[in-house]
Amino acid sequence: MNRNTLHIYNLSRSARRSFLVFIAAAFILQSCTERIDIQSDEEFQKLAVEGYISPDIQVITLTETSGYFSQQAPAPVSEANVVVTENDEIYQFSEDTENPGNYFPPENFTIEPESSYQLTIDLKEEIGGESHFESEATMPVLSDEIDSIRVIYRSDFETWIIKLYAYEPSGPNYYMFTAWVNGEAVTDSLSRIGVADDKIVDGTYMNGIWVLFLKEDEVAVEDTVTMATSSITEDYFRYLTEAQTEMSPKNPFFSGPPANVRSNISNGAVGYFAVFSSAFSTTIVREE
Amino acid sequence: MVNVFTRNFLLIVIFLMSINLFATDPREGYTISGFIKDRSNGEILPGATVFVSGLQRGSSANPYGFYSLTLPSGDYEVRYSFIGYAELTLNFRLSADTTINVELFPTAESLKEVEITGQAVNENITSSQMSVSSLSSQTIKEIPAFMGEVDLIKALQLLPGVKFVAEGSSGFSVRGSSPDQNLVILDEATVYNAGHLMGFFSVFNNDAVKSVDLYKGDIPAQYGGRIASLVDVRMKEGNMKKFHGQGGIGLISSRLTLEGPFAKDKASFLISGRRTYADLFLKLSNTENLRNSALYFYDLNAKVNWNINQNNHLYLSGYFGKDVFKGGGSFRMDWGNATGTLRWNHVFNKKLFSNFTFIASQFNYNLGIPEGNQQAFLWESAIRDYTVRGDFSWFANPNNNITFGFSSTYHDFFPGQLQGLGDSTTFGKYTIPNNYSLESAVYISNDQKIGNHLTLKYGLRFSIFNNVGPDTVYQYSPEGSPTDSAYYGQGVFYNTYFGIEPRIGLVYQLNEVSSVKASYSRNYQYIQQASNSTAGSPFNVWFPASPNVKPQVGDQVAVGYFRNFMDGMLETSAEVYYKIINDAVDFRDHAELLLNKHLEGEILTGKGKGYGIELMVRKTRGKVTGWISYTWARSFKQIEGINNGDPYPAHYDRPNDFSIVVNYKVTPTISLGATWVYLTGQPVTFPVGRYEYMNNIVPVYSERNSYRFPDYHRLDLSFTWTEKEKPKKRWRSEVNVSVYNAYNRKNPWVINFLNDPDQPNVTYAEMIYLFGIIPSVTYNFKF
Repeated sequence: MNRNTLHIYNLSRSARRSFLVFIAAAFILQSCTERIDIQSDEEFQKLAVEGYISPDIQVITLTETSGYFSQQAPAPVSEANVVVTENDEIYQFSEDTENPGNYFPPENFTIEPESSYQLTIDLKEEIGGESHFESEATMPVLSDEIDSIRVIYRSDFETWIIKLYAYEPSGPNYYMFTAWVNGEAVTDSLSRIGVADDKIVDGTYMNGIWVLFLKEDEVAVEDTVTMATSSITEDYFRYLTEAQTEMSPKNPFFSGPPANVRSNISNGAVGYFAVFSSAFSTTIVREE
Repeated sequence: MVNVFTRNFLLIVIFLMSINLFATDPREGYTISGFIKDRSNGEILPGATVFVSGLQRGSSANPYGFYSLTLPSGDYEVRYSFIGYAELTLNFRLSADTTINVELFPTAESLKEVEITGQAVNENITSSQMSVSSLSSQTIKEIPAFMGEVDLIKALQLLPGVKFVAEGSSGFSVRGSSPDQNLVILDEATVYNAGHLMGFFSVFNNDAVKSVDLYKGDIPAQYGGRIASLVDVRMKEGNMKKFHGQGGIGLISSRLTLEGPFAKDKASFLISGRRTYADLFLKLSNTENLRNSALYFYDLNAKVNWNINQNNHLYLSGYFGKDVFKGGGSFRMDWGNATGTLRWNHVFNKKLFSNFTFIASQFNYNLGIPEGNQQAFLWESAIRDYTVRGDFSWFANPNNNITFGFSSTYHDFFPGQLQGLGDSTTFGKYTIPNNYSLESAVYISNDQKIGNHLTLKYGLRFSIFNNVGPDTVYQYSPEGSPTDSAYYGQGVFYNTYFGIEPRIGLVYQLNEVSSVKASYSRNYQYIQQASNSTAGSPFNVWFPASPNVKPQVGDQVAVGYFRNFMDGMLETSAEVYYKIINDAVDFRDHAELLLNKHLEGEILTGKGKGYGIELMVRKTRGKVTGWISYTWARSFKQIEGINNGDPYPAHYDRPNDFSIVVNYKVTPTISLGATWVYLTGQPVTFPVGRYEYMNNIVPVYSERNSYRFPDYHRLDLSFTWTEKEKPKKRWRSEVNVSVYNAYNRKNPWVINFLNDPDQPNVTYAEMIYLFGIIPSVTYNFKF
């Protein structure tokens, strides 16, 4: 099914799940799961980059990839030379000694809307035969004029749904949605964020479209819910949807063959250097 | 070089035909012709043979049961025979053109009336067609069935060179090719999606099916458009003799078929229906959501058959099937096929037989949230085909059987539209416009006997494909992004491809019971499925060749040795093949195949190749029947943009494939069946590394398909009790008990790599297997 179409993606996911449940019920049988041992014998190492430049967060995190079943926290890559360039201004990022592998900007670092940022990484020691890595990303226009958001509970999905009321400007736009409940981040992982394109709402007024799903126990009536609507580039949108797809269980009916997630870092590094800006809206959850 | 080859081939065909057809004096003899039918029900018997003792000359009935044989005047003994039927011998003096319509007795029911000669029908030895397997509906019925649902496609999957695409799936791969490279036709109408219930059952109701022929690559010149195989399913015509019914009550579905004459030996009908009712149990559920849910399929086959006179027959047949899934009031999807075929057989003269066919075929699906819901939407997609074809058999002389004809299909593909429903919807509308194309062909083929040992089959199919406006055609960058577009108005033929498709075969008969065969065939495929699914899904769209997508071209050479033992009771064969596919289609990583205006930007093309050896031993008569087949085969693809442009095993590359199918008739009323299959595990891509992004683990993969699932194997068993035939009792009962996966093998359907939700750094592999041991009971009846 189409993974890019706003919440239909999420809907179809739950439909698929319930569909399989139905098949099981109808056949008086259960498809069963069982953990199995897989020998994954290839050894290789690459640099993994998780970089964000936005008005709200600026950090470049460097780690090393590990074997799939390594069962360890990723090893940080320390003492790298991390530089971000914007409009010929050079900013030297420095590593947080408390959190090795995390590099933060200098105090004079400023965020310019629609600006282009170049990232350069030089490692002290080679990883996967490379020590120099580059990337570039441009901050998209913050495109939504958000009226409001609303949070409703759907008993059939046993889920809280954040509905968005906003004008969607015409032309292709891509979004990432994240939420906080009473100031606490609830969608702080790849699997929980919402990602969407505007294919079926392009240039229209989005009258309460479902954009984010929160678990039953994460929200209560009277809670304050804040949602960030971030305008992201098409390439980052594709990175996020690809990564979400690859970390989710596969269903032979719908899933394509496994394929590596794209990256915008040079020289074989994995991960992404993302540049975006966000609009925030807040609401208080009311009894229906 | 290819062009030189095809041009030369064309010249050779014309030359061979001209010396053969016109060298013989057409008035050197007289012609016997007519139809060969089943005595018990009047059904025609395609492939039945006519053999003239003494002269050692013979012929066989065409797909409509018509035969024609020209002989010098004289006294003859002519033998009519067909597998499963008692041979009929006629002695007569031929002194004028003669029409002889014969009816053969099925052996099982004719023991008392006719002595069975035991004469073997060595059709498999003498036929110039190779890489073909035929199954009758009776053979299919004897195979242990999944959930008790007798299934033609599942039966085909047990033949050498044929593999299912996933556990329980009615999708299949022939000689390593993808499922959309099989042309599946039901009474000549293309069936675009042969699966019910996500493919766990096929759309063919065996009660309405007469026979199925599978051609692996060496497709007769009459057909084309797919590079891997032709599955030719023929519906019964309907009993011409007496009214008759049959049906069954199974665990998940019930069936009823009625057939009979409108006028004896003149006109007949057949109507056959099937519906699952597992969803009725949902009504008993405690949850309201489940009570309001539905999950079922039904299908209906109908056929009317009218012998207007000796020279004109009309057949009208149709299929209609649908799957419906309704999840409470919140979700709904349905899909189905509909086909209609009108055929007119006309005998021009003793030697020239014709068939004109008009076909309509449709596959569509809808899914969405019903109106009344703020999120209400409807997603629709459809394929429609309209075909006209004319096929001629010219029995020129005893040594030359010529078939020729034409076909033309108008494709109307509606890839999809998504739109909001009702006033309160939050959706707009997103439509991918229809695309139109015309796929046409003319063909000619000759089966030529040279001496007593050699038969040549040489044919040529010339296909032509036109894209027809209105359409907007985009140009794409190497990365697949649209860069420019051109609009073509209604009715404009804006792009044309054509293909010269030679089909050559020869059989050299070493003696009465053994032969060597060889064949070469080329097939063009102009339409294909946009599917990434490894298990087959109804929610796929088909797309045509276009300025951006070249047709796929398949070339196959095959050589085989065929030997019968024990009076033809035991048929053995060994075939070796090698095939290459040019402009094979695959998709970019993470391709978006549905609801995508720029689908063509997701397509990558390259080369495919496959080779293998297929061995089979088949026992056709006696208390124990069945076959053992073993295939060793490989299949690879090499496509720029996938796997760094390096060759990789195709998804259907399963080197070792072993099947045993046995039916043991213990007594006239009790039979036992067993099937065992063994296949190398399917090739898969596994993660070899990982990194963290946004607090989740993202996998890094191996080369494409460089790992394999554990090997697949499974045993199915069945027990059938059939009530004794009693002269006065019409109603006959039959009880079938079958067990699927008898030793409860856990064959993985998918292996997922997951992040332990409680331990963030822990990843593990988890397999899902669909079916454990599944017993089922079916009650069948006949009257």
